[in-house]
Amino acid sequence: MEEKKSNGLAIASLVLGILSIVIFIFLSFIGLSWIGLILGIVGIVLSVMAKKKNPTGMATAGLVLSIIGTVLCAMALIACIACVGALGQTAETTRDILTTIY
Amino acid sequence: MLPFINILGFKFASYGLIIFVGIFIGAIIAIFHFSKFFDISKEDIFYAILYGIIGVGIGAKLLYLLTNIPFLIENYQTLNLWNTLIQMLQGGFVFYGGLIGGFLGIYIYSKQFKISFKSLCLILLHVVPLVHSIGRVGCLLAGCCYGMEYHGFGAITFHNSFLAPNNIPLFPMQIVESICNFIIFIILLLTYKKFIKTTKTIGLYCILYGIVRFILEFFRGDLIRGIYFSLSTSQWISIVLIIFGISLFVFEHRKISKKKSD
Repeated sequence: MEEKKSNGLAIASLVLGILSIVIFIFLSFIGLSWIGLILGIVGIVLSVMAKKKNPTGMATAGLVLSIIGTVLCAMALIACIACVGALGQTAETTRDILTTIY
Repeated sequence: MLPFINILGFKFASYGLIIFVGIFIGAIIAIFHFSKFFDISKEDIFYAILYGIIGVGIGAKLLYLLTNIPFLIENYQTLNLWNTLIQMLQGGFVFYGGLIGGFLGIYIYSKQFKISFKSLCLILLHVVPLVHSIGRVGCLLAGCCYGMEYHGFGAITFHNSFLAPNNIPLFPMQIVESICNFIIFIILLLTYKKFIKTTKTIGLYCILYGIVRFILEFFRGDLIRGIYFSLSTSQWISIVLIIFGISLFVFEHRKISKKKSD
């Protein structure tokens, strides 16, 4: 039963990892990398849980693909538009940044 | 300076790219060097790093979104809310939010798989200043976190930045903070044999980074820094960090001397 559950987690992580890569390749151009990022993150968590319960090849593949998908989507997304030091950013500043860039 | 890099036809944000290079180097050092001193497998450290990274992303982003709630409330009639939310998801991270989120991620991992949270923190804390140091190079490329107007040695002038003011010589804030963080990393590296299994490491990091950040804040020229009683929010947080660091040092010192006297 436990093995079946971890197998399910591994398959889910594999699917999510593949999806996040596919989204990066085909949808990052239209600014939808954040969807791939979320899927990749969920994929990483599921694959770690699967590997902890039953370290199979499928779980490892899921982990690797999810990490690749997450990293690619994050790199396309994180532009450091305002990596502010603390809570110093105000609504005024956000408005300025958004109007400057977009 | 160079906010985006094209690799094989894909457009990557240079900041994101540099940050991941930093995380990769930091993870290798944590897994292969610092893991030797603790009873934790390399695999567990790797997974904890993954949870930590996820926590950093969520924490930094959540705090950023929280700080922008007043803006959304104020402008919800004139803005396309969906587009604005997407734009906010793309940009804007709060370092201290990331720090809290990262430790929360590691805490969740340690609880989920019953691994010592303190040991994981001590291992990973050693490489935080290194990752931060490399990350500041990303800031330099993106043109964010810039310094005030400055005409002395090492001044940087941006020409095509959409974040920093163009054609004005600026204090090289990103480079100075990167060097300071690297020096903190070297200090932690030199003292790890002495402090490795004590919370003094955490204390030392909090004190050193708190002091560096407190001083450097005076030279920053970006954004409105949220000034309260003549100090920026980051400086107030730095003061809390320094007090926390000193108390950890004192507490650990007393604990050790009590053990010795017993």
